[in-house]
Amino acid sequence: MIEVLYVEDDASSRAVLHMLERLNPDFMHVTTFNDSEDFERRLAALECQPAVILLDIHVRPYNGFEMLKMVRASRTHDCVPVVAVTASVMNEEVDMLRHAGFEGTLAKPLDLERFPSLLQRILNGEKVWHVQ
Amino acid sequence: MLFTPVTISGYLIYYLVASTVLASLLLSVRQTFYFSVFNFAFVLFLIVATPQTEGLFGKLDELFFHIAVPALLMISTVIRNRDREQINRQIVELQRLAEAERLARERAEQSDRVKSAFLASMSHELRTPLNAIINFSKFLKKGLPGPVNQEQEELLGSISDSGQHLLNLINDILDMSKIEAGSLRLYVEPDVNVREIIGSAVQYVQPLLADKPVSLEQSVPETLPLLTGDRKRLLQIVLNVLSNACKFTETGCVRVSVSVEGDKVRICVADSGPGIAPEDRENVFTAFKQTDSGLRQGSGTGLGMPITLKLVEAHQGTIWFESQPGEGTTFYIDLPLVSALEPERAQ
Repeated sequence: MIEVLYVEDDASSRAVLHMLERLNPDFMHVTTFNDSEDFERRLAALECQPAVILLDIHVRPYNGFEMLKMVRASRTHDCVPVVAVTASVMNEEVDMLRHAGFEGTLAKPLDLERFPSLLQRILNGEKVWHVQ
Repeated sequence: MLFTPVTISGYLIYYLVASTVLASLLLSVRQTFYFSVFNFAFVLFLIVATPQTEGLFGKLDELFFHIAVPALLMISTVIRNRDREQINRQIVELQRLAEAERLARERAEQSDRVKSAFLASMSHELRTPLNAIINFSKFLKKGLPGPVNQEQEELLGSISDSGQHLLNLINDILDMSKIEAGSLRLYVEPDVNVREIIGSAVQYVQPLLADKPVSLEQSVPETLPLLTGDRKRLLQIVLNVLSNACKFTETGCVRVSVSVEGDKVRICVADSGPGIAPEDRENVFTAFKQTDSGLRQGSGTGLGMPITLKLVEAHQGTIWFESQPGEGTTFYIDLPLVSALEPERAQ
């Protein structure tokens, strides 16, 4: 069972991930944060520690890049793969994600059928740039 | 007495030589030429028109050296200055043009930035709701929240298909604008497996043939040399051509084959569809020009083939087709085995 943490301010997008969880009940378990307020503390306080962290980019008060830095700086989660889940997938934006050190990008809309295999590939250490 | 031949004064010859040398130093070639012609005519006139009187001729010689030579020097300087002024005016004019050009370029770059920002924001703003539209309708269609009847299922399928179409449209417009702006970027990898790409493409297009008596055949060698290129874009190329073949073919077969032809890998997509009418041929690769049958077919953005052409060209390949109306169309894509593209460094 894969523990997934998803930080996303858009309710529909969170619902899509919970839907994916329902479609793949034995595959993953999803925890969501509505915002990035107090992100570090809430991450550390999670009962089920995530195996992969999915971050929306345009989140307040800390955006995806800032949250990525927090994850990398933390002693307990610095090795957890962090994936951007974003609707901003122009060249420059994806370049910024690559250079910031994300393990991959999943573009919105998410691909319902391929999501599990993409997630598995990321967990296997592959960098996945699924931007269309 | 007029018209009497006279001995040419030695002074005059000195004058002619000196003034010509001076003129050539100070004036342009053309001006020197005019000056020399005028000068020569003037001297000739003096010689011919001067009375034979030695005294007067002697006075004329003096006149030259005390008045005419300085005067000529001044005239030549004035002409030269006038010339300089003209050059200066031209320089000012050129500077003005350069400034205007710079402003126009800045404005164009500015509007380019605005366009990019607009496209980026449009893409973002449309993709977020599409995430809900496409995925919620698929989820409902799967019947997880509760049973759906056949009509509901069809409608839900229609919602997700329409959402997907809208997404394709956004992607195509973004691609086309990147191509137009010259900012299309390939993420080049050195080990792209064509067999895998054909496999994925075939998988993607299967649903297009679900309700039609059309068989999809593939003939791809077990082992093929790996290509250098952008995996995703190469898939996009094959997918565009293959999905067109599947969309237009109502009966018969669509056949994908791959072969190595010299220093190229050739991908062939042959269909038994309606073919491309001669008058439509030149529009196949033109943006926003769908063929009549394409328009009737109702799906597609009119951008697929133009984008495909640009993507093939970006891979230093070629794409062309042969078509017999009523019998079918075959598209050929040649991709170089040895590519000059630089693979991205691992990140």
